[in-house]
Amino acid sequence: MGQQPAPDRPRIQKKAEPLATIQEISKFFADTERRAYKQALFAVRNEDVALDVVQDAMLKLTEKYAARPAPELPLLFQRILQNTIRDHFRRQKVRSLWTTLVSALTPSHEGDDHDPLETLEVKAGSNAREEPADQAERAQVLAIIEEALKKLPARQRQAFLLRYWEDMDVAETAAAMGCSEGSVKTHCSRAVHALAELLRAKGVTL
Amino acid sequence: MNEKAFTRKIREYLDFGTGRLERKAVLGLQKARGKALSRVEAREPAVGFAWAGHGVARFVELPHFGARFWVLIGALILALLAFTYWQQQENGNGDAGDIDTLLLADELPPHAYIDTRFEAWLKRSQD
Repeated sequence: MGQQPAPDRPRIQKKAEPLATIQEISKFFADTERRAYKQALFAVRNEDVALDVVQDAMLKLTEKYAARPAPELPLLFQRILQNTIRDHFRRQKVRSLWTTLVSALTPSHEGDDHDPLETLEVKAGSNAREEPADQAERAQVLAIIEEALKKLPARQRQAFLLRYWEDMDVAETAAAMGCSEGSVKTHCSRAVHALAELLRAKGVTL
Repeated sequence: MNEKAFTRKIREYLDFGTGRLERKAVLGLQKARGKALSRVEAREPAVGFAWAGHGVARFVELPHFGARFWVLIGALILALLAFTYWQQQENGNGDAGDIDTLLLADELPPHAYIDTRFEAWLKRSQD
């Protein structure tokens, strides 16, 4: 996690392009919000938190960057979304540090069989378990793919989703992730191979 | 493995997945969108004026000056106007003086004597 956090403000295009209208921003959100939610969900693995992350990203976009041309919105939004996800983990880290400190000071309960790892395990698999057994093959494959994506390292998943789902080129992905284009290529290549391997292990060939 | 075909297939599945979001998530996203857009609506006129201001500033390339600067500019303009007025007055008196000198020296051109307006002016200035 030695990566420097990417600043919210990307390089600004100085071309005199018309500013995004409210209708364009609305359409952009409508087109993007579900993918953004899924991206956040893959990262934070909690539906409510994922919704909060997407809402925060939307608010930041409209509060700070509403007066920007419409073509700039996708990259701006992705940068904000990725930074918001990163901020969430940063806050979580601080919170867990305090929790650890407080729990270290409070007396432990003898015979308490609560295992936090068990809870995490259930959470991680919750989506797959919620899928009904008789679902269509397509839905089953989707669940396997989503599980495989969750297992990818965060940076690989991020690069893969931006590059192949958000359809960004290498430079845009690098700008959104705040890393070099070389790193993006490496992350994407590793993600593709890891995904293929994970799917093959589950008997899925695409 | 064909990487392009593989990623395209994954993308298709993921798109399929976004169409199957739970109702709670869909409603939550709609709510979030509405909230974000309400901020744009609230700011839109201000944004417009701000941009108009920026445009004018950029066009005339004027930096922002304080009230003191404008008071100084006003005083300068007033001084300039006063000076111009005084100069005009001075020039007027100078003309009369020149004509007096010419009259006394008998060097006034002959057509001046047949100019009725000149005669009227001469009478007026004698009063």
